Amino acid sequence: MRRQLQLSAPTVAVLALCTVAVHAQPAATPPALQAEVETTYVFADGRQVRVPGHYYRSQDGRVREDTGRGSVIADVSKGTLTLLNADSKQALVFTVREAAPNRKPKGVSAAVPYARGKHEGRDVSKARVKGPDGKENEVWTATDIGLMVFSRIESAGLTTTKALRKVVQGEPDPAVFNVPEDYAVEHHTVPALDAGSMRPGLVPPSMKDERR
Amino acid sequence: MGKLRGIRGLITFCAVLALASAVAPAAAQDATFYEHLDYSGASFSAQGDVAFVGFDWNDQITSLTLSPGASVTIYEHADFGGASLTLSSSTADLRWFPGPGGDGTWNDAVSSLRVSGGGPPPPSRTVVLVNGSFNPYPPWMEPDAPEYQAIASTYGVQPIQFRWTDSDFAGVNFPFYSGIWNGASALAGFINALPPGEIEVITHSHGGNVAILATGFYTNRPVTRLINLATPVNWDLRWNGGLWVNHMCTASSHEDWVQFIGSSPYQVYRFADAAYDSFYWARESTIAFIEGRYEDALYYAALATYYFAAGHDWWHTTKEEWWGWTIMFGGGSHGDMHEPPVWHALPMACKLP
Repeated sequence: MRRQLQLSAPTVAVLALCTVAVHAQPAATPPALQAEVETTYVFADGRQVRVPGHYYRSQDGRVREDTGRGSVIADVSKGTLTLLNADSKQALVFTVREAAPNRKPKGVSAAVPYARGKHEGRDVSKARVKGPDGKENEVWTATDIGLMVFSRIESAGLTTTKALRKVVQGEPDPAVFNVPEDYAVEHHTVPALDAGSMRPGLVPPSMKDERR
Repeated sequence: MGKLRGIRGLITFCAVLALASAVAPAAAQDATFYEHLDYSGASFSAQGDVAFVGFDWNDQITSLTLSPGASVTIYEHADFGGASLTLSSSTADLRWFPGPGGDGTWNDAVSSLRVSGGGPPPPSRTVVLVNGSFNPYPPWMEPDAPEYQAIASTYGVQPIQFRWTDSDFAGVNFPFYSGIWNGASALAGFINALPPGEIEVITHSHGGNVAILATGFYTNRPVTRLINLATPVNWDLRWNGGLWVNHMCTASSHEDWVQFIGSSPYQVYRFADAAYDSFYWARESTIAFIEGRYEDALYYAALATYYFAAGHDWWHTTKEEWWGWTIMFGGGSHGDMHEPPVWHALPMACKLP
């Protein structure tokens, strides 16, 4: 038994090379696609608001999501987030200085799968996520394209449910990831922000007792 | 006796008419003077200076009533001569006060008088509209606008406009917010100078921050209600203390991007940071899922949801007011918030009349 496991030096070298080769392969890229997205906000008093929108994802790492009155464009290759305000035709371009991988907040544990199911005809893996605040969120991931097609997330005074429908694979029109020409553009660089207060209370903790 | 009383009554009526026409509009009754104790007998009312009360009333006054805020100085002789006594409240019996009269008091000893203060009853309520940034003359504040008319209908009075003009980009932005501070000082002066009575302030957008700073730092009297419509909850303009406001409420729309952008850079950056991370980790989760690294995918999905919630929390900080009630609307734009459908949804939370 022990002999069978002994590896020759050439074998080790070949395995090592193979390992390097595997690591050198480009990471998988999420497929380009677009979909309709319906966002439902449920406020603390029970009122619901449904906001239709659209979702675009390019293969090179750009994502755009249109909501009721504006759009958010994230470009992970450039490290930017762009807000398009449809009412004022204003674009705010934020360059995020600190790399996201450096910020993994404490207390966030992996989503826990609990069921498989179907969403719009696709197989989905359903998982629950318990946040550091104890609230339970939920995500469904389409197993063929790795896309989160449904989520229910609790935040301050609000439950946000987002469902992607009518997913169509293919590269969206590149123009959707650009700022429209008639928009005024403001550039901002987001300073490195401390990880300790990534989620706020409604007011800074030091001021909570002072609220009237 | 009856005839005499009738003549006396006629003379009194004429004297009152003469006094009233000489010194005050007929509706103004700051001081009323009575023939007998306890505000009984014949009476006349006066306002301002009365150099001689007339032969019929000379040395006849025994009690008097004063309107709120009014005072009276009574004189022994005509033309404000001789001894005098100033009273600031109603008096049922002038014998309480030692004076030049035959009995050593002020009973039946008044020949002239000066009434001050008082005046017409103050308006019970003044409604002030305050503009937002970039336009001191927004249509919603004009009398022909549906919002103006809705507000007027609610309060039963015509609102008046306060306009702060240093409301351009530099005036409403970090780091100094100088236009908002200047506007607050000016608004406070405006409020302080209003006639007595309840003051209702309705604002839009950064006009709410003008009102918050005004009532937090500058006013010398309370505002009955402060209603802010789509006011950016800017943490640079919030503090630990309170406002001199009896009741406050804020109407915010979750979809109002202008309100978000008007908040502090810290809040905006926090949102951008969290939103970016949410997209980043969602993408990483997808990649890990495709590559079959399911544990990573599940962890990254959790990070994506965490940052999504964090982004929403920061977005919410620009809309949840620190004081009073916040009424959250779903899909309205910044401009929608100063339109009647929002106004008509406010009465209960804002305790409107």
